[in-house]
Amino acid sequence: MKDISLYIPGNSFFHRCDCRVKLLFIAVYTVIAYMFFTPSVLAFLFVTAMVFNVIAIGSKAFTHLMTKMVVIMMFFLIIIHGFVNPVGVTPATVYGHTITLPFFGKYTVEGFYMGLVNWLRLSSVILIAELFVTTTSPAEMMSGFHKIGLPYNFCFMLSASLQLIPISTREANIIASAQRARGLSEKTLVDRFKGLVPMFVPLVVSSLGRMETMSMALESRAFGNTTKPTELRDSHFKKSDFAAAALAIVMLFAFAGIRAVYGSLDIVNQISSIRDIFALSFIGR
Amino acid sequence: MSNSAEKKVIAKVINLEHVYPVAKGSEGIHALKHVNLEFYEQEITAIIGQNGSGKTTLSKHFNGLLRPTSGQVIINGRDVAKRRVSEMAKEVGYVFQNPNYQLFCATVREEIRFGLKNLKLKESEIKEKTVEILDEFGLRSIAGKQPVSLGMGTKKVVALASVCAMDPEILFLDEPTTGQDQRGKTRLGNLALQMKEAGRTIMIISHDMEFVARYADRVVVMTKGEVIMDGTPEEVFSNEEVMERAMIKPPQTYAIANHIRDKDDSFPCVRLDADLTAKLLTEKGLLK
Repeated sequence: MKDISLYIPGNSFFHRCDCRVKLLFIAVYTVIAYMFFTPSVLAFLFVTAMVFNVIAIGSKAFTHLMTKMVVIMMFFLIIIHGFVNPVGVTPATVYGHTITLPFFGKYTVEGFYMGLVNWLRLSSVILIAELFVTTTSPAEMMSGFHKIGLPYNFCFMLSASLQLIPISTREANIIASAQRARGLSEKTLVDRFKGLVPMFVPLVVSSLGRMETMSMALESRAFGNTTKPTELRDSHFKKSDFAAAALAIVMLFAFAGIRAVYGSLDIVNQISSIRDIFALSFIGR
Repeated sequence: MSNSAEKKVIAKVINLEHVYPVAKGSEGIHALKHVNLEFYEQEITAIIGQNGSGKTTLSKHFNGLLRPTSGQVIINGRDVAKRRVSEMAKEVGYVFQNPNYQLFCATVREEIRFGLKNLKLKESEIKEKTVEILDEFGLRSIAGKQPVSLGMGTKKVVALASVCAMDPEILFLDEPTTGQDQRGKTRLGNLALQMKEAGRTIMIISHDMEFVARYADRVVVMTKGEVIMDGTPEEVFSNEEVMERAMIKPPQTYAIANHIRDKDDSFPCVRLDADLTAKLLTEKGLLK
């Protein structure tokens, strides 16, 4: 059975890192990503996030579900923005040709720029979040959330539902087998859609039943007696955690400084070809 | 059974092997190792063994829910591996352990119609068959009720009825007695006998040895993916070595008989129940 949990066990620097440091990195990356509107800074964020991921989980960083999502987003964002973004006026030339799509018109340089920047923004945040989910076990995640001030009940709910995903997957497979054994056809796509009801109902019914059993089991073990229970895995900041947190803060202030001096580095009005974008943002004018 | 030679073979398992893949590169779990079996019509066969001995894996090969790693399952002369699960449904019925996984319709009647609709029968045929099944399984009074609201025992019967409606020649019951009281067990047992009389081949996967000893004609014992014994209940349950290997505790009547047989070879090896055991013990002068 395929494991659905996103966590990949390991012993890298980021695995040993306190959960709160990783949350801080997500916050810092998100803030920086939305302070700038230029491919250079965003590409820096993207590359560092990817490097962190490789350090943490090795080659799995390239095949992870969230990385794949980033790649899929690249195609959608860059293509769609290029055609539909209203900012776009200059037609882009690709090896001397312009690309035209019926109803959408020409693929534009500004549209490409918008697509690229938005994609880099979103994917930097996704990749740094990937670092968090792949290196933090659900138990650590829960204690981390609790320590940054979320109510214990909420944290528990979150981690409990994460742990139920594999169980539900297994159950969904059994239900699918049960219905197929009753002659549920799966020949065509229409058949498959029709088959959703016979699978959905038993899954929901059994999930609700399990929730009820689980809540009774929890209450009978004194859940909710205190809002501050002792942690199963208590974590404290180590030296390395302080160092990593310091790095995040330094990054934040450095980029905030650049932003204050130079602005968001938006060059959308200075470009006239795709080559301009790379020339202006990486080489300088 | 002595007359099994004359009975028609319905299903044949030839050199069946199944390996569950684990991760890339590793070997996988060898769930079935060279299983060879024959199943005859009008017979109740129980498949017993510890958890993880391969009972369910074996059973899922009969309707194609699992595909063999090597070997074949032949039903009515045709290889199952080449056919679709939904196509197999009218030949092989499978009642899952937990009826909640099977039942989803608003009423019991709808539940029975579901399989028939999947077989694409005519509306008039479906109606006729539904009424017939409701009567056969004694579900007429609750035909309009919601299956989810029923008790566990009744749910099990509804699940069984909904599978039987498709008229399968082979019927698998996965753990039919879990969570059942004595009344539910008797009801299911009698239904099994009734379906056997109607000409079906029934296979029961169970840990309930009392139930197996009472209703099965034949017992197949599995351990670690292998069939280690295949015989009548009295043969199987009086073979202490096999019982120990399969980590199975025989029903108490058989256990008592085994103890007596250790000292007195003449104690008969027959199909036992409490009454018969008491009678035999009295005859031997062991019970006064």
